[in-house]
Amino acid sequence: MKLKSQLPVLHVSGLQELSSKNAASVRKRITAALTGNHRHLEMDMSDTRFIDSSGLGVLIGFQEKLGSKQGGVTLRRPCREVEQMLQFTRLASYFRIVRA
Amino acid sequence: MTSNALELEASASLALEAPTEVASARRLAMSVRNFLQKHGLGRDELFAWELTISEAAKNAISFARPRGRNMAVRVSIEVSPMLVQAQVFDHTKGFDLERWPHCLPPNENENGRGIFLMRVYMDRINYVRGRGTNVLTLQRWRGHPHNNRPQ
Repeated sequence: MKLKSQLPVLHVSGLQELSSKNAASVRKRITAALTGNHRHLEMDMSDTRFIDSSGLGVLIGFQEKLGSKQGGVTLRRPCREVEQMLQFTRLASYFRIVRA
Repeated sequence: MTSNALELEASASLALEAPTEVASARRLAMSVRNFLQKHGLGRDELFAWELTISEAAKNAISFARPRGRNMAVRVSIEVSPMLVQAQVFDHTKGFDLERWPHCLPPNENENGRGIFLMRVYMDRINYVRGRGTNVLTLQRWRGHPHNNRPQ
């Protein structure tokens, strides 16, 4: 996983999955990288082929945290399966999704 | 020869077990995915099974009783031309699936979507509590659009 700060955005990329396997460590690394000046978390999901309810929990946690600062989580280029799962769980409109 | 006999002849099965520890959930799910991929399941079906086994195994591990933590989590799966069926054996105190809410938690809740996702991605799930061991049975028809998805 790669992290890149461009205030007020923290970019995350290179995540192959976000699941019970790595949810705790991903949460810990992003939390450590977020400063008070970050308002947006942009997740490049183009490498992410799998996400489960633990992974959703991580994204929700950051959306809540940044939403309180008028920011939020953007999911960029999610694969078809991940986007479908976000629709099933009615989270597709909770996050900002960018397909391009 | 009956159609049932034909189906049985063409079926294949896999039995897995793993230690009751967090990393096992994904290992079991990946093993199931690889097995089903060899038997020709499509991309959506593979995701559905990988996700459902991940969620089921995670629950089996997270909620294992102290005595159950020394016992393996077991998963068996059988694939036939029409149906895929899996069973996940856990050593938790169990729960009442029939009474488990069908609704989603509020968006801001980080937890509480695992059973919902299993219901969405499977055609049928059943949970039987036993003495010491409980069994979650999961079924999904092959090549059929299933109807559990929220509108």
